[in-house]
Amino acid sequence: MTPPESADEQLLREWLAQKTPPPLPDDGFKQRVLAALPPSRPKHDWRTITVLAAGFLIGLAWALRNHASVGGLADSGVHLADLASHRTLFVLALIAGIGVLTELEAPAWLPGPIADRSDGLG
Amino acid sequence: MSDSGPSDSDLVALALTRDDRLAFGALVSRHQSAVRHFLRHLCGDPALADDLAQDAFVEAHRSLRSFRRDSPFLTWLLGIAHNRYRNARRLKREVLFAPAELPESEPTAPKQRESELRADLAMALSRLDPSEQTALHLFYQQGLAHPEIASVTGWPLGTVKTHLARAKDKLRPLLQAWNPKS
Repeated sequence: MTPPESADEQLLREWLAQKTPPPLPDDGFKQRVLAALPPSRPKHDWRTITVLAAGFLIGLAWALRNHASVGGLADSGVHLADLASHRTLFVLALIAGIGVLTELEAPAWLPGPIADRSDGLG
Repeated sequence: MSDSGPSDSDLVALALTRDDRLAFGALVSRHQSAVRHFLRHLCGDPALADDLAQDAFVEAHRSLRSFRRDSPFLTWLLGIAHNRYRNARRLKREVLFAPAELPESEPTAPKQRESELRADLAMALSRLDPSEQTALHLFYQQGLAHPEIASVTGWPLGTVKTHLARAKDKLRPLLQAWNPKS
């Protein structure tokens, strides 16, 4: 059971409550703190997976398109030498380039870590 | 302080599991005023206090995994802020308080004007020992309980109570002079 507050205690509480300053406005403090945080952990998993999946699908489509006329996908293994063609190499280089660029700077449409947004929750 | 929206614990969990800067930013928004007020109270210099508050939040972000949910997040945060302040003082970055005892002078005569009361109170508080000021600030202005003050400052619980009792003893002449019931 809480003992009753003495008159002095009550007065002190009232005085100090009056002396309590109003909440400080943020004034950019949050942004300064967030800017001072260490960089986010690398989270390229989704980007990498997206790029690899896209590359796989493009490659698969490319293979199906080029080999469908010679007996279907099952026979395409015998045409591996065709991969050395200029057009195939160009497509592979293009996919690799996209992958590298994605790792350097993720485009906005790719899923990634939750970015800081100015409209905070609190 | 956290009446609406996700709880502090939820935000900490988000910040931890997803490295969610938005969640941590919400924690900063929610508690920046209390932390900055506390540090301004401790060191008296708003600019230095804000620097220390920023350091405290960065340290809190780095140490989020060590936050135990058995005490409020703000208590844990104020403890970090207090440590930053002590480290800064140890490094002599700033000369802080000039502790002085409240004189054993005659009680202040009763006055009527509120501004005079505030002036007297401010002067009396400024003459308290820094530890006593801190205890008063955390107890009456931040609303922390004795064990939480102990957690923030690292003082034993008995020391917290002693600081508060001494502060009140020193303020008693002022209180009695101003208290219309006495």
